[in-house]
Amino acid sequence: MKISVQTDNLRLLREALNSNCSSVRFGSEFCEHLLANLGILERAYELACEEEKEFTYVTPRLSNAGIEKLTEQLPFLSEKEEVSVVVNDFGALNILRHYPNLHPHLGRHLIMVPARSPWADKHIQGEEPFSERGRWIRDLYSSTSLNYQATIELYRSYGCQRADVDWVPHIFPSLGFLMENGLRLSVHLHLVPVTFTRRCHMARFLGEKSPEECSKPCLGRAFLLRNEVLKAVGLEFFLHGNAVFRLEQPSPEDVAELKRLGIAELILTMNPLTKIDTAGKIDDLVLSLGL
Amino acid sequence: MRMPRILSPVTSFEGAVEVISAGADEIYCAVKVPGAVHLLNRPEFCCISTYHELGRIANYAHSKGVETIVTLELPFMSEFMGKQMKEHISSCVNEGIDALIVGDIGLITMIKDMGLGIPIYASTLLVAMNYEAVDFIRKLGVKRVILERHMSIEEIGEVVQRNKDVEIEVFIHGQGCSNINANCHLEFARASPVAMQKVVSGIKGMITPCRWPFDIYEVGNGERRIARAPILDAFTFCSLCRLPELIETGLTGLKIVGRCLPPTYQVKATKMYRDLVDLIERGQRRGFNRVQRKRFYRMVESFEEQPFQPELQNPDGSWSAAGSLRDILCTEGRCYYSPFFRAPYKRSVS
Repeated sequence: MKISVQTDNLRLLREALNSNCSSVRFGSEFCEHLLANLGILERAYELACEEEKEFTYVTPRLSNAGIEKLTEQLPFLSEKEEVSVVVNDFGALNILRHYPNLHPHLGRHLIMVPARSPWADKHIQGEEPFSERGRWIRDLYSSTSLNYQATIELYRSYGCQRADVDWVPHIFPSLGFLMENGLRLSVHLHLVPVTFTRRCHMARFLGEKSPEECSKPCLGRAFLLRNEVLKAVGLEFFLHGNAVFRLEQPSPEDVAELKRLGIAELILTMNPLTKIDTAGKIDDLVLSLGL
Repeated sequence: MRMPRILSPVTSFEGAVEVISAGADEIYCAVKVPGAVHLLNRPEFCCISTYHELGRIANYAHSKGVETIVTLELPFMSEFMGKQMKEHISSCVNEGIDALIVGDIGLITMIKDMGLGIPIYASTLLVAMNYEAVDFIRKLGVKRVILERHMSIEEIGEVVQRNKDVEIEVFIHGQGCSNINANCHLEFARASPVAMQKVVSGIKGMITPCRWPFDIYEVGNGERRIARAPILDAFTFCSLCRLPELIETGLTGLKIVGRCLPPTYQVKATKMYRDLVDLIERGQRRGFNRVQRKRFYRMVESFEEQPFQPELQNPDGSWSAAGSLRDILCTEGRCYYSPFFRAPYKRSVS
């Protein structure tokens, strides 16, 4: 199982490249305003090549302007060998058809996972387990929208052979179906997205004026959110930029289970929420998970 | 320029009669999926309960020249749901509906494979937020695409211009969403009623989790609370003042949200937008001159002063008005087209 490190800036990318990870992912999964300009993307690619690490470009949901930006970047990536592009938007997938050298990799936003819901456990526990309704809810929370053959076939017709999923143990048993249907899977550790917005919650709270002028406070800050409802169900949310997450701590046993299932890649994200910001911390975490 | 159609929500036959009378060009509704639990989109109470009632609605609507569109609840497809969804889709189509709103590409493929010949409209849950995404969805065989919320009028205009061979519809009014609908898992909160009551006390309007106040702590700064605020609240509702510009983009449909709201809201919102669209149309035919423009804004202002949605749901299930449209929408800047980083909650931060 490959270990990949995801980051959205050059400083952290350099740390990732100094670690023992086998590949790096550069870009932004959630905010198009964090997408690098072409010059920085070129530099990121060069740095990865110098360290002989595999390079994947990560893209978020996109507006018209984001599509324009991606259109400027893809010719550069397409000249390189073996670059994958994580797509989180149908528009990005649509334009990747023009670049057969690039490998589209399905991002988390294109795959619905009901068990990302912070209330999933409560809903499952609230039902009589052997009732028809209880079984239906359990089936729902153990599925993804890729657990339907026609959906996988459609994505494969667009060249997608890889997909990202979350660290949500409820869905682990259903991942076999995806792999049997030809998908290589990457699992994100720690951060399970609960929701995200175009109207960045952090930027609005901190008084940023507009997306174009945003000082990008998310590069160094993240917030913990609590209230009475979350406390009653034993939850906390984390806000990082425009996305809300819940944190899942991976256990070595679950990692071993994923290895046994044949998961291709584990992804560690470097950001203020995971507090992974040095090569040493990456290597320590990998060791602690028994990898 | 062709005027866009107004698409209004209904949840009963009686409601449909009133909404059509208020001026809807099309109505949309959902039917409860037998054997399923509605945990992914709107709850069961926002649905029509029987296919028979759907048939009555479709018949009545057709007699008035209005189309009936069914939104498929459960915008999600997995092998375990296959038989259930096929039966549901067939049952809806058999009642004489005119189109299906679909929020999952697997479901679109299934409907096409079923060979029903029913037009498919792409739900906002497919997150068409740019012209390339609309093109991708169009190629799946979709006749109409409902755009993601939170797009600017300029972005909508560009999408319309670059996708001439598909109908483009936008949400204009109703329960807004703070987040990208398809990627939001905040709904269907499950906690003790006491905890819920503590959090939602004093909130005006629809009380979804994105409007809850949160204690905010800086990560890596110990346990120091920096504020209590509804930090996830980017809730937006209204397009009244921007209607002329919106129509100028050339889009084909204006969709009012509110399947989960009471029929009085569904009727009022439809009537309000009908009157304004008609006024704009009359103005366009004669040139929308200064006098008509003044009249348009007078009409908008008179709507704003009315006690209106969002309403508060009382503990006994009844509804009461939460304030005027101006109080709730305009003063706080809860407009679909307000600046992106406007925080309507700023005054209440403690």
